[in-house]
Parts: sequence; structure tokens; C-alpha cells
Amino acid sequence: MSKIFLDSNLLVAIFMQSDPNHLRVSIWLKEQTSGSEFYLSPQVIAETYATITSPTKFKNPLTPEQAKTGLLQFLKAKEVNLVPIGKKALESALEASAETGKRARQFFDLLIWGTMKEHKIKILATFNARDFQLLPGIKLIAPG
Amino acid sequence: MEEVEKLSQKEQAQLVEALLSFKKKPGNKSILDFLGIYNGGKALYSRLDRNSIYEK
Repeated sequence: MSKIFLDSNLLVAIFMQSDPNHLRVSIWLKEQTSGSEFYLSPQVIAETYATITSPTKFKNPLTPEQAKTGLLQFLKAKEVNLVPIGKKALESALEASAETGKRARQFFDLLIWGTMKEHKIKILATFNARDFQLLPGIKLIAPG
Repeated sequence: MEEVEKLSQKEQAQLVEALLSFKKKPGNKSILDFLGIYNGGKALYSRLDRNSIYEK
């Protein structure tokens, strides 16, 4: 059983049919579900919420009620596991920030990586693989 | 900035149907049940990275 961490852009594409990557993620998920478990952190849920309710990201964004309902139900899906962001994840992200020279909002990429490291998850599914290319110990999957 | 075409009437009807069936299944069996349950109109981005997630 593969353990796959889902990046926020993937979650947005799962929910929103108008996302440019929706078709790709749909096909990919149908291929993966029988042999995979999916992981995400509160950061991913927060970023997804911020995106799907944003009028600068979607012409008709979701209402807070829609986003709340959808995300809470999503967390109950049988293949989905929520993992916390612990001290080890933060320490790993901070160490990596100095080593890689990543700045500003790029720190949130490092926090994803640190969380995966903390929970021994080796595969990251993302539509922005290039943002994670320098980070060791993980395999990147770009659906489609 | 790339924009995505609006959904057709038929696609919108399918989405509504999917959303209704989603509400009928509070336990939700699979991650697949969540595919495309919402129509966000047009996506106003072509590449969603962390810079674009956090920009206002």
C-alpha cells in the first residue's frame, strides 16, 4: 500500500471541476485508489480552503459553508489520513530553509516536506514538482 | 492569465446531480466521491503554486 501525501493544488483540483488540472487528477485518482493511502496535513486543508473560497482564484468561489462541509466530509473518506505538523516537521523545514536558501512563501513548501519526513511518507503528489525538486528523501508524482 | 471555459448546461446539471448524491452519503465511501463536486465557475489561474495560493 503506497502512502501518498497530497499537495494543496491537488486537493483543489479534486474538488473543483473548473480547475485546469481537474481531469488529470480525476484519471490519476481512479488509477491510484485501490493501492494507495492518501495523507495530508492541516496546512493542506487551510490552503485548499483559502483557494476554493477566493474570488481571485475562481470566478464563482465556494461559500464558507460549502467549503467547510466539503472539506470536513473529505477528511472522512476511507483512503484519507490527516497527520499533524509536529516539532520535528518544523525543525526539518527550518533546517532546510537555511540549506536551500528558500525564502518567504517558499517556506510552506518546506513545511510540507518536513511534515512528510516526520511521518515517514515518501511520495508527494503535486502539480508543482519543480518547487520540491531540491528536497531529498521524497519521490515526486505529477498526475497526468 | 489562462481562463477555463464555463461548464455547459448539461455539465452543470451533472454537477448538481453529483452534489445531491454527495449530500445523501454523509459517510462518504471513497475519495473518488469528491471528484468535481463543486463548480467554481472559471478558474482564474493556470498554475497554482504557493505564491499564488498565498497572494491576495
